[in-house]
Amino acid sequence: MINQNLKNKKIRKDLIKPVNKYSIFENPVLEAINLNVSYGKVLAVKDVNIQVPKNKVISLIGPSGCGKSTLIRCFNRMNDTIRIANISGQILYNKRNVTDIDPAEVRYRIGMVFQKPNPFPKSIYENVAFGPKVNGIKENLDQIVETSLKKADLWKEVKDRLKENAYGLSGGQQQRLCIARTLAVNPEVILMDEPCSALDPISTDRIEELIKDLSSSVTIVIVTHNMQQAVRVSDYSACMMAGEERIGELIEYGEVDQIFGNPKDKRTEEYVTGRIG
Amino acid sequence: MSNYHGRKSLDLGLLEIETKTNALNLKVLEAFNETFNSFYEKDLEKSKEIIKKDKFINQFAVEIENKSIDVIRRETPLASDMRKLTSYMFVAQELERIGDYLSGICKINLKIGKEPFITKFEKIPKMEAIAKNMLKDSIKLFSNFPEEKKAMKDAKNIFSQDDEIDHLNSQVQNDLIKRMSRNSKLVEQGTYIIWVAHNLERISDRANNIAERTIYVVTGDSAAIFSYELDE
Repeated sequence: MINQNLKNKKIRKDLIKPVNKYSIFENPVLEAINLNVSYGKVLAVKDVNIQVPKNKVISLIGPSGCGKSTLIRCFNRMNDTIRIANISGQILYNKRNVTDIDPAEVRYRIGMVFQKPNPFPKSIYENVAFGPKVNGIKENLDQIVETSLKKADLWKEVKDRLKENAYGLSGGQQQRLCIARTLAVNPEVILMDEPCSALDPISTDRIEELIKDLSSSVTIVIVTHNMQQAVRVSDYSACMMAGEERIGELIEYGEVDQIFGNPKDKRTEEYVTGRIG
Repeated sequence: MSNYHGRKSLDLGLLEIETKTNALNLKVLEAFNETFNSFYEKDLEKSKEIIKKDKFINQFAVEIENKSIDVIRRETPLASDMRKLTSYMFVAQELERIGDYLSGICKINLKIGKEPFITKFEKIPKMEAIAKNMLKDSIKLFSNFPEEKKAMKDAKNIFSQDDEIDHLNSQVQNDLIKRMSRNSKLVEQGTYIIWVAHNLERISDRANNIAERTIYVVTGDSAAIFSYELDE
């Protein structure tokens, strides 16, 4: 369970140590302050300070096991579901500590899309309508479903088969359905954990186009192992790395052109050029 | 190779391009020396040979460009790898153009032929020495990619010679124009010699570009040289 002691702690702005000038934004939608995450006795992520600016795409890069997924799972309290996970430090969503917000509301405002498409074993329509229904919305469901599917660039392909089971869709379509399902509750942030790693190049391209389109109204944090994808879709990129003790740290954060064009940290350079990882 | 942590295919591609660039460097420096020897000594056969050999310089430049494009396409490089690869293409083009200027000087030599020179060549050898130095230094700088401080120092040293060559070029032009306006028989050769000086001045500009490109590889910003303060 999340460390309940955090609830009563005051927000220590002085603890935010900018990795570089780009890591300080005026009104970040998400913020991690001195974040440490451990699973049981094993420290997985250490001293992460990062701000996520509104309506931008931020990519998290780094070798496997460096704590990228752990970090984004903290943003919407997904790590609460892991019994042995222990979190210290603060996660702020629009300046509010996420531990002060009901977990269901956090996940309503901060949606998540996973590596493997995970539609519910229901119809396409029911998948998209599920979130609004759970949140007590009974009216305009047809409109919400249509708008969400259109935003996810899936409407044209499924408008005549909304009652069919979502499992009948291709992998790329299922992933766009999962994005539509996330969009149906009108989130402010979408966290994406390697959303294209199980998709073919054309489906990947459509998801990337979608990310770029959505970023005008939604903040997106994407974990990716595909460097070119990070360059194509993101505005800022954060590189994480685990040292010999296997503890993940944020080593560099900056504009995507700088991170992939001329990284300042030698480890980032080695990672993005494929020399480590 | 047990401690090797690179990307074999990318590293081999880079090595091949680097080797070709080194070979192109040598060919251009050799052409530079031979061009001026043949010019002062009126060795017309040698000039013809240099003009013919320019096609090999062009060929090398094309090979470097093609190989760089191939590596970029296959390996999707980033950061310093990408900076190097784009710069190898850029520098190959600069060297190819220097080859053209040298070939141009050889063509002027053929046009002047055995006719005695109308000048004692005081300033042009000075320009030649400066341009050659700048070219050698910039090639050395680009071949080594030294750490930032040394790269900046060496690049500034190359740039500092540029004013001198520009000044000498103006002097050559002014002197010859004055003489040509007094004696129309000097116009043809005088114009040719102005072109020789002009080509040397252009070679020094290309050497500057190579140094600037090295700064881009080392720092990620070719304009960084202009704001960098050296600690004396």
